[in-house]
Amino acid sequence: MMRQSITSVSEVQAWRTRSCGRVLVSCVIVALLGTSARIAWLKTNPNEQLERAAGTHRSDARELAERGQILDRRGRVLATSLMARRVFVDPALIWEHGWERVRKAQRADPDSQATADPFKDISLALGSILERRPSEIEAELRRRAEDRYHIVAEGLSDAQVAEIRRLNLKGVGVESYPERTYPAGDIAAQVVGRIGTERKGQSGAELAHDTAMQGSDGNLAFLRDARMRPLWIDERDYRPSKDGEDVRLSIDLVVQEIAERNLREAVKGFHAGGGRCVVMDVETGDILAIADALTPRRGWTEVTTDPSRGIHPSLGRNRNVTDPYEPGSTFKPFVWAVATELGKFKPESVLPLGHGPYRTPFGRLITDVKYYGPVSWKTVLMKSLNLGMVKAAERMTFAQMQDAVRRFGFGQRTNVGIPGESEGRVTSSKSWSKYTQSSVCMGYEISVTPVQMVQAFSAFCRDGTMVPARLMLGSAEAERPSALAAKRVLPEAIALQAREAMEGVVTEGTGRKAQSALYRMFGKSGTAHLAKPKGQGKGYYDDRYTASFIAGAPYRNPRIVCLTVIDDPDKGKGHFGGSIAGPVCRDVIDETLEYMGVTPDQDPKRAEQLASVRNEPDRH
Amino acid sequence: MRPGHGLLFIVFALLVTGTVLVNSAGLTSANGSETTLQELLVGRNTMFLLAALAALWLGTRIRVESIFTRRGWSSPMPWLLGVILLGLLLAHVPGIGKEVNGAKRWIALGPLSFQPSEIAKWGVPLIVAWHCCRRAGALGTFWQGFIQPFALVSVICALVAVEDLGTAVLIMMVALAMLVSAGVRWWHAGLLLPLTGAAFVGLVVTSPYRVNRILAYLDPFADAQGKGYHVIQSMAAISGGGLPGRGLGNGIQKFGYLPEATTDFIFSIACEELGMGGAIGILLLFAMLAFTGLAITCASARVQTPGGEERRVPLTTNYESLVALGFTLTVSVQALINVAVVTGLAPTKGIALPLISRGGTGWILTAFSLGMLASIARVSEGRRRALQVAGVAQPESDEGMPQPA
Repeated sequence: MMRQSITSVSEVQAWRTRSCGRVLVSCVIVALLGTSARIAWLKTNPNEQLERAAGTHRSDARELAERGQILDRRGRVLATSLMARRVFVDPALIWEHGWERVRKAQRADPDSQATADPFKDISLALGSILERRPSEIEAELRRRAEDRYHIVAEGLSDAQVAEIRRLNLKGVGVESYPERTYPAGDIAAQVVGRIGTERKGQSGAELAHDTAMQGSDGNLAFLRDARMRPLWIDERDYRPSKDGEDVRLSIDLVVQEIAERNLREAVKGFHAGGGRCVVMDVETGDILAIADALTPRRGWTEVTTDPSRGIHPSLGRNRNVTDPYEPGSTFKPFVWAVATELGKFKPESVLPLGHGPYRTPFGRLITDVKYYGPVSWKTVLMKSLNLGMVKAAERMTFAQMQDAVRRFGFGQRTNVGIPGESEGRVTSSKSWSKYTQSSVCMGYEISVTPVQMVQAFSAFCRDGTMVPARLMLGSAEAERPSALAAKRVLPEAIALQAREAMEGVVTEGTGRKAQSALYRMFGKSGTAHLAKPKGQGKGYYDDRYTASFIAGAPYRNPRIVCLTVIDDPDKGKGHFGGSIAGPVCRDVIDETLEYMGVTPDQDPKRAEQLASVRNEPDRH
Repeated sequence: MRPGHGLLFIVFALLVTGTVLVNSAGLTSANGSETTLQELLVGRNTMFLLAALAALWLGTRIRVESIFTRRGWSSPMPWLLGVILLGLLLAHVPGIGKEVNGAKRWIALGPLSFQPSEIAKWGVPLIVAWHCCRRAGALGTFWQGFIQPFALVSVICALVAVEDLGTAVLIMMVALAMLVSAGVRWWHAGLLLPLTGAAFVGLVVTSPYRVNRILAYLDPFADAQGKGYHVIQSMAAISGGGLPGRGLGNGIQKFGYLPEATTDFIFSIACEELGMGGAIGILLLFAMLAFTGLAITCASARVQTPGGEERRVPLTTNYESLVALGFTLTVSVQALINVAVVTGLAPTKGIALPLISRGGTGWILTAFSLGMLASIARVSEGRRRALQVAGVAQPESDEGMPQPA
């Protein structure tokens, strides 16, 4: 080793190169292998901050569940969902990207005049495709410039979609959405209801059966690249959607149309504030038609208003269940039947009625339109005599009268399946007085809904059993259980006696104008004074009425019951239930029974005579 | 196995790995783009692989010592220097220079384009080694030994640094390491460190994007969508897939999340797809490459002197040794910088992973240079055999680390 002292420069350099090289390269090797520690650390320590900063690489695609359809009893579509397309924009992105483009253009050519407004550009492009005024779109974009989502137009055609896709504008997209359509239009609009923007039912059956019809949306999670293009999908990441159930209503679209048309004409003809018409199948309790018209009149202070109808007809409340009314004389058959059942009178019993108004023992003055003197109990109903009804009421106990009200389901909800149902108003037994007793027998001091009325009236059609009304059928096999739920409310004989008396109403009583040339029917008219609404003072208007008529047909084997209520008709055009509501009932029953294929049963001779019916003043 | 053969095997392994990874990282999800195996086999990357292998073979045919021994006009040194300087200047001439990602690093000659900094990277070690051996006796002097070569390298580095600071730093580091290894005094080199540091800081401060990179390094999460985006996405790629990795081709980050997935950040993709095993494999290959390069640098043999004494003699000339060291450091330090950058250990620099990152001329020049390294090994092996034939060398070879005499 001593030789080192005499070694050449070259040898020194060789030695130095080698030793330095060894140190340097070793350091690099150690450092290189050392980085694997860092890699291992990154791999084994899931770093939340890193994950958050790196952003998600997954996207979700929603698979929209199809909302169930609403069908009528025969499967006609009342409401269904179609896939439609709409165009949406991302105003913030349009603005950002548009200016970026302008800046780029200016960088390439500093003298460039590219200062066009991004919103203007997009509005011009979209306006011509969507046939909307570009300035209008531009104003919308400007108003929502900070937002990330704005729908510009809905219900695009294929051509429009293709055109928009072809332009490939940044910040403009086309998406599918389920659009609810109502093929029947305004017919049964209130029953069907409608949905809001969030696909939630807002009114009618859409609201009542919202949960069942909604179904559940599916979801598809997938891995995507940075430009949102899907890369792949894991099997577990797909949850299919479950479509909503269809809802079948008891409504028959044709009968509904019949009822609505006749009601509309009558309301218009009598310049009434509104009208209601319910048709029920008495075998099953199915409501075949449930029509409600409300027509605010110029120059009138309306008793009943419904502002939501102004927004959309389907948003209005269905007054057939929500708004109780005082039935007036149409309520008499129920009291008449119960009094007969209790043996207070037989149909042929003669009641000692006077030839003038009757003052009750507690001092109430009872009047009639016309005084006949002593008449039979049957005539009391046929001519709708208040004096006779009060006499009967005096012979009944409070409990008996209250039972008469209860057993026909008044004061209880029918739960027919329409949101917002009222139970009507029945005086409680605590505040029940002699005055109440004498009012109720004439259909005052009690409020009922039209649906309660037809349900109760089914007892006369079904020989004494009453069937619950229903509006929803559900599945096909569950079509008839309603009839099983029928309960007896009157003995058969009594029901038949009442029916006979009510045929008299139509043939020789207050309801002669309701006589049909096709079908023998039985019914009862009612003309009740309209109670003053809150804030208008107590009591009743002297000259405003609720005219109604309820009838069943055919007489021998009744199939349907129809109630027509004309709210607040113009007295100058008529106000008696028999003359203005009766003909509507007749026409609806005629058309409906013909549609149902029921053989006409009217006596041919009688049909001829009908042309020459005397125009006697009607009773209320 | 001789170090030369080992080296060729490692280079081959790295190139093949690189081709596979570049193909994987280059997959896109663009609509209608389908890639078949056939397309990959005859694709661009395979062509570059073959070209790189050809360059590797070509490199082994060069007698490195002859670069040093030729004199006058036949010496390649002035030509090499000229090409480097001219190339670096031409990159800024419109029409010839090509801008890629906002940096004028490329020269386009018809269909071929290459980075002059790439030539400088491999040329500078040849020049520095040449100087060190020519001026071996004067290396200890400040002016002749140190300042002259340092000034030359500084000029080249300055030209490179305008567009590519990472490579300039690499060139300077390797040049300084070579000078010191060849005999320049430590303190001479140390004296200039503040100056180099100041130049580095100056370059950083004058260009905002370099400031951003430093800031991103210090706290990438401060601006995750902006300055810190690259390093965060890179670390997310490494972290993704966990230890076993997602499997070759199954990476997610390459689909638009991680920029430069096929070039600067390919190692992150390797970590994501091949997991810890793949990452360690690649690192081991580079470590073995460095080790083999060191073995070639230090090749020596034990010989019997006529006096019966036993001593070690170098099997390489000093020039060969210095070039071998320079090349070894260039490739391994570049790999180290790249790995440090993508793992978030060093600020982001545009520097590729040698032999792996996509880049035609990069692969070809690197392979060619490492071919020259293999040539040095071959030549020294020839000398060992000659010594054995002469009967002076010990029969058992010892290419390992010779102990300092």
